[in-house]
Amino acid sequence: MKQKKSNYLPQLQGLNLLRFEVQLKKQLKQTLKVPELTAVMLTDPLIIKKITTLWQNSYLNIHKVVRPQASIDCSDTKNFTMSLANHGIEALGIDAVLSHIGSKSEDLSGMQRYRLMQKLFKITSFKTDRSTQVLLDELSEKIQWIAANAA
Amino acid sequence: MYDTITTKPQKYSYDSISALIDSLDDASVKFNKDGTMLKTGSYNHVRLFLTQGMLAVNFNPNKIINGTNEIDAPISSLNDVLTSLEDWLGIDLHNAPVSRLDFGKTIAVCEKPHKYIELLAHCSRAKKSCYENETLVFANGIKKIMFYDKGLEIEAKKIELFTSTARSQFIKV
Repeated sequence: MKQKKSNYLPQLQGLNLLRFEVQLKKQLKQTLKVPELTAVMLTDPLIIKKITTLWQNSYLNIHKVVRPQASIDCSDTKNFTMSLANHGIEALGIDAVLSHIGSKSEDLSGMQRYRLMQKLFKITSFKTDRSTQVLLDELSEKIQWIAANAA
Repeated sequence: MYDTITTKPQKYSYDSISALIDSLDDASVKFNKDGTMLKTGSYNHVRLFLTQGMLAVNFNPNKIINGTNEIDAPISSLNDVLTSLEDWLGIDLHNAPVSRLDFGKTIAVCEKPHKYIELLAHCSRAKKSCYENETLVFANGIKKIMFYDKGLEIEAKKIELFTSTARSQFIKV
């Protein structure tokens, strides 16, 4: 029987592949904190370290959302409220909540918006579902390993 | 680790680079809004952009060495890539300023990539765009952060290859 042709490299066959890229298009010198940046400098271990750190930090600086635990925490009033709020955000969708805050940007000061965001991320990280936390832990570990072994 | 790199060499001969671009199969000429002429052409994962005052050399070291960015060539091989480009272009590229730099890695993960992508909610001072839950972009004027399903991109390339093959066969008929 004729074998089906594949575009995958043999070593990547059957794998789930997630590509994570960072593109710097402006202010490269300021971003990498170097007086100049030439092509040959990209092989310098110090520059490689700066770039891999920037790559890793780009991931770490993203706010992650994990699904709330299936059960509602009734241990005390505060936990009960946080648990319900987390389920509410899950039902509405984090993007819808963020977009709602964004749409009120004319009515809110920068500080008010910042506090709302902080509250939002505090709620969404409260008593989270283990399976989604496992995915984030896996990705964080792999990104950390790659950054540490890049050079 | 490195993906696309764009360098802008300071010293070059406009006429010789212009003649080189003209010799490339996909050479093209466009006019910018201010009336300046922009010549472009590409060869083996290297793209050249030339105007009267600027030359930009855009290349991907992994694609030059491996033909793909799915696996990384060692970073030290960038020197060899620069040397071979210098031989081809006849200009100093090692000391050329870098004007754009893309870097990334294809990560083998346990679950389908969209399961990770949907957990990434927000990045300060960046606009979020998500395409069909498979490509996620956080962008501002300086930096763009992208997550996407590489497997789907590979599959899409296969379809593109199939379509172009089918089209060329159709033309032959």
